Amino acid sequence: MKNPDIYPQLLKVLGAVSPEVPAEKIKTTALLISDLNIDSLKVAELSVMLEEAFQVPIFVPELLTRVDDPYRLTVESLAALVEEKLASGGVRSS
Amino acid sequence: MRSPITARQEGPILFLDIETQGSAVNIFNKPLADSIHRIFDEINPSKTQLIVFQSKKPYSFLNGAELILTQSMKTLEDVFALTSNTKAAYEKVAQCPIPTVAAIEGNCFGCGVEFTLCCDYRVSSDSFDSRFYMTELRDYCLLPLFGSIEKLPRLMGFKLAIDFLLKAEVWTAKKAYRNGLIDAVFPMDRFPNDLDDFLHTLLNQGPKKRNLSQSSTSHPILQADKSDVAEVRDWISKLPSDQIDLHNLCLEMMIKASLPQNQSSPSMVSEAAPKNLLSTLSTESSRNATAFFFLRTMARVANLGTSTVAPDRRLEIIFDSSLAPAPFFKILETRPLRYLKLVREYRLGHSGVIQKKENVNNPVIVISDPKTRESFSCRICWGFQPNPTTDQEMTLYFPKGSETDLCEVFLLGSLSPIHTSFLLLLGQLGWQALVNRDKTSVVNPYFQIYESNLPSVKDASNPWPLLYAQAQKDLNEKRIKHRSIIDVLIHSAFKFPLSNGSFTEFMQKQEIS
Repeated sequence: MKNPDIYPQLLKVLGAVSPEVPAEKIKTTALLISDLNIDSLKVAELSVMLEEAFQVPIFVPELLTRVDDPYRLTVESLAALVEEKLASGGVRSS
Repeated sequence: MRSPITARQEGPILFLDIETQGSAVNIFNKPLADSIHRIFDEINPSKTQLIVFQSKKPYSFLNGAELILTQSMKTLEDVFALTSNTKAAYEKVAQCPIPTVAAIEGNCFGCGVEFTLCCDYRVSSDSFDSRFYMTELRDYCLLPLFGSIEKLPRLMGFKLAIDFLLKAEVWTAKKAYRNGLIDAVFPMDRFPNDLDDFLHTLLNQGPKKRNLSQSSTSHPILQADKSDVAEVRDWISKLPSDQIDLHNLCLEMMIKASLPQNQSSPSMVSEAAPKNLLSTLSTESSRNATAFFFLRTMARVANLGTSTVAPDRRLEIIFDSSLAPAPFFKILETRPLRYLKLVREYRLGHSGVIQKKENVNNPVIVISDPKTRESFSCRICWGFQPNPTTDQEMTLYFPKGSETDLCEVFLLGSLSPIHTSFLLLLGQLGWQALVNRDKTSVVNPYFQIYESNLPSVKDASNPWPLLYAQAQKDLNEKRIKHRSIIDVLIHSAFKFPLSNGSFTEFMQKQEIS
């Protein structure tokens, strides 16, 4: 992870999107679907809030197209997506 | 985490109350599938004669399965890996020797409908938020996976199954009952009592298993008539070109499913379902259509600050009784919601606002939360205006006709929680709110551009680049908060094809190329 500063903001956004999840469970190894209840509605909410937080277009469903097993996606996977979007300077693809 | 199913035994009836944890709506996800497996493996047939599914979430019975998983399905192995648990859970319900009832209050969409088809009986409340809709073809350009193709023709007959599945009609509970999708519909205020009567009548008569996959289609009316098929093929031929193969494939499967038992078997259709789903998933139109679901939710987040579709409280709409004939109230009367009460008052005693006769089409109403006693006034108007009236805390501008389901919202102050609850309630009534923090309409310019460039208008141009130019201006000037709002506006108002996905992305790619 080249930019660990992403994490505080990312964990804050995840806490806002999934307020029913105890804060101590929102960590880098947490599974997005099983641990953080990220579903089809929340994945869209996550996209908008991450865009606001990091000021770059982020379409989270894109992450799901890149993996065979979406149940294994973690907070770390999400952080990598954010880092990628920051590095590309906001060229969105979906 | 709590189980998504709460089981309670009441005499010989086992009630299974569904509540997907951490979600605004009930979704048939992995925890729910696992709970079904566990509960059905442990059921004691000597204690239970009937199993009844209900929802604990307002506005939602079952809104589908995990749509996000479709994003990861690239091979047949992926399809099996990500759907087999759900499919097995559905089968467990269908094959359970104890009869099952889906007691439906709240919307029943897509895989949610398919779940109820695994039940032996289906009953519903007549509230407007208890609607039935197969989302797969129209919203996602996908084929359904969990049995509707083979079961719907056997349940309702070929023609009605085509209307519901292929043509993706949205049915109210009353229409679902008339067309044979459900067995009974009860008035929403009497649902618990009528359900109780229904269940006890079933117990007295001896509830029966009614396995739809094995029911006969030997009756002629259930089978595909040649003229019906010809009519459907003609309808399909008029669809956008990227939709034709998908709908033809679905039609072929439905024809096979409606053949008499000796000419086909439901398992033929069922076994082909994963391969058919995969073939549709890989198309660009399906990827774009599924992406649009996310965009629509992003627009709701950008507008209202929440991804939820369901209001979190009961509300009352208080209005002057003399205004009852006004169009808005007539619409509300045909769309009764369980958590919305219409209160008629003489001369609007609450707010003291005396309604003049000329306001009958643009009435002022009061929206109130009877629990917290919060309330606000709201004016209802028709037809998007460049310079709207904004003399109340909230003003709603609805379209004049049925050209769009958008509703432009003006606020005198900031958006409060009760405002959000009311706008979500409008969503349940069929309108998407576009919150405008400006004093002038953002929607009206788009209609002006579009109407000035209709094919019938002299010197008309292709409206899409002109609309895109307006969109870029609005986004740059921050009159519109997020590009997803533009995408929803253009799709809803001007029928930009769903299979093209995001309007702003599509036009951006056109510009680059």
